[in-house]
Amino acid sequence: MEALDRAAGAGRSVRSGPPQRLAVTALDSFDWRVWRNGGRLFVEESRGRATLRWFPRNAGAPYAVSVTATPARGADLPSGFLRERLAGALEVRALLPLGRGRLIRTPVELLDADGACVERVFFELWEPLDERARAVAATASWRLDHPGGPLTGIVKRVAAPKSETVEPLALLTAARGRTPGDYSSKPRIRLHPGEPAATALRRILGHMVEVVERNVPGVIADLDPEFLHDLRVAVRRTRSLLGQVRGVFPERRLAPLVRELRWLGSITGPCRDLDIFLLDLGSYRSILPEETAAGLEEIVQLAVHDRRLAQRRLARSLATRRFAAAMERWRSLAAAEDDTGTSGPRALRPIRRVGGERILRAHRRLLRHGLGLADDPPAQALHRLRIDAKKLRYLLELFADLYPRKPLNRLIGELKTLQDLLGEHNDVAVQKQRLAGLAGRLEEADAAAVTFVAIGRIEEVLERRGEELRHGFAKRFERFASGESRRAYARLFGGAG
Amino acid sequence: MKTVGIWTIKGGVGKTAAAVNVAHAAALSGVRTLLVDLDPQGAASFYLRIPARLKGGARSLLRRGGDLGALVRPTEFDNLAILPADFSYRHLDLELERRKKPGRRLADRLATLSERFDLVLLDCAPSVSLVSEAVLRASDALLVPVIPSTLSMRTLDQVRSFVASQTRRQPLLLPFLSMVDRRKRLHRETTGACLADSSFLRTTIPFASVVERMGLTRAPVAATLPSQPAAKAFAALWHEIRERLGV
Ligand SMILES: Nc1ncnc2c1ncn2[C@@H]1O[C@H](COP(=O)(O)OP(=O)(O)O)[C@@H](O)[C@H]1O
Ligand SMILES: [Mg+2]
Repeated sequence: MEALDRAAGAGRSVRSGPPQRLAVTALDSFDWRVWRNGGRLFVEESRGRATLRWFPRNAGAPYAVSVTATPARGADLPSGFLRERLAGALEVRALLPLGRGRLIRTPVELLDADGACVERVFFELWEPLDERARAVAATASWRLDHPGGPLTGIVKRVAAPKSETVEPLALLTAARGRTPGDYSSKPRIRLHPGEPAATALRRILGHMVEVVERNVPGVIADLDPEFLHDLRVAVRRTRSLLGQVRGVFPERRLAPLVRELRWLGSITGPCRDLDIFLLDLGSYRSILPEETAAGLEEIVQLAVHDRRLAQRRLARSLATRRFAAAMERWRSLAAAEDDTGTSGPRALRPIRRVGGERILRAHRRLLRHGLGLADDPPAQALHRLRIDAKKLRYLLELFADLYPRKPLNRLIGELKTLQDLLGEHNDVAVQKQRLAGLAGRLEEADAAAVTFVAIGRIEEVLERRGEELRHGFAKRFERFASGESRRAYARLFGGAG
Repeated sequence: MKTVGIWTIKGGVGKTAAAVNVAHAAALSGVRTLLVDLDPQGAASFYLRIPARLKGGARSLLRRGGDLGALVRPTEFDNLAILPADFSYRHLDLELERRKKPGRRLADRLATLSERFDLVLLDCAPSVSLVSEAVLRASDALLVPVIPSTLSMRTLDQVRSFVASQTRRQPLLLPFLSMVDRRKRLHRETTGACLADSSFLRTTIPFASVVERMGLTRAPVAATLPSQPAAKAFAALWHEIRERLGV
């Protein structure tokens, strides 16, 4: 401090304020949506009072607001800047304590001759705590919010000439084995066009099994619906990939894994369907007239009850030996040494060619199934088409690195427009079915009349929406199946053949 | 971003006291607040312990294209920043006059900060001038301190007609009773008369030595003595303003 004071120059002085002792918790979603949104969020507690503090990732003054409870999701954030900034990005993801620690923060001020504060920086001592609340070595750092100020310069010169800037979020989360940005629900696997198909697929498999493993604890603890969502997507993509790319792995190793993936799909389905149903029920609240909306309550209660059961059953399945064995099988196929001798005939072909072939095949199949359909096609046909489209989409995204970005993105965009319609149509059908099932049970339980009015209204809305979608089908498909688009597929994926 | 001007024709009625304490209350409630000290004497800056100097002075405040955000200074309070006063503001009028569309210049400059702040409070010197026109033009609401006396009520009428004489969008007028001394009979009587006027904010700010002492503590009342009635009154005043503004 004296050294800083001496460096301040004539007429100025450096003074430190009273240190603040705080218990801090770093909050973010499992996939770092706060951090990706340009900031870091901490709960700072001292003498029974809690402050939620946001530090922008680029320098700048933090934002703070006092809270009575730690927010568990975006909607719990106090209204104002933070909620506006983060609730949309967090969606349904939970805000989790990804790190904890102790902090001693001391303000240090540069004062002018009149005692006014020219600049303020903070000296901070961070002591991360690991999962068992044991202290990890403390790190001292200067928080310099405003680069370019005179005090910032003095600190850099005198007190911390070669100190690295400490990223408190990284510091706290490292004590629990996490690194900001270490998980994304949209992973990218870098493939190389000439890579043998077997190695490329193994890397994809390895990545997918890791996604599943990382999400299992969150699914079991039921932290938020996205854990299950991500887990299911990884399972489905893998299954779809292995089902479509034959002749790379030996069949005797592949078949049992595919069977187990199907099992994983079936055990995770019920809970996920109820998650979607509950999310959608929320949106019906706004379309129902106020008197009728009250009728939703019984439906929600029943669905919440069902979901609780489904979640418990799922958690039990994930703790079984069968699950552990399935994961082991998955991992070992991903890790297998180069077993060229025992692998399939396509194992050594370059992934770009194998990928292109599979994409073209999936594309042809989707066209064949879709082109025969007139406007207002039967629901069954749309269902099949939805699956076809999904398979094609997985392939396009998995192999994205192997083809020119721009035209590929155009094709993905076109496909997505078609998928949006097919997907919504499917949701409508699933919701109708579920409502009908719930209505039966509610009848037996002598539910209030208003509940059935609500169900009737929602069914009407779903019916109309389903029709609308079926009538819009031909036009959407036409765009997808246009000559130009077909030529683009042939150009992009056929060239290597 | 909402902008609230604190202005009246009279001096010494508690404008700066209200500016600093309301700004602090707003920041405490989680609103990103900027206090703009337009008074060349820089009392608001002084209370917040910020040097009353602005790099480039009145010119950089008004010059179009200059980065106003870079002149903003954080205070020692969370969510509260200040655009400090500068002695050159004694010529703010002339500086405005030299420019094109002087009436809206201040409003335009403040608009560049709309991403960073939810609330801007403008504390200014008492006068009827181009500066006051610019403040009115920039403000969504105008906070007018009124000391309970017959003369002050007349002043409020003058403020009203001045605001009404502005052809542009007129700010919402929010008069409130300031420096109310319950021991004075005149204050008690006039208070009743004022509050009969529904445009008055319901909160009254008491005459309190803790407010006077801000010159010594150099901090908003609530920062040093949060349980004092005056501190609570400023917080209540802020919540009323917030409601009327719909922040
Ligand atoms: N509520 C109050 N109680 C006691 N003194 C006050 C109060 N409000 C302001 N003062 C004092 O009155 C004087 C003028 O107040 P100030 O806020 O600077 O008025 P203005 O900005 O309108 O000129 C200052 O000395 C200030 O300390
Ligand atoms: Mg003043």
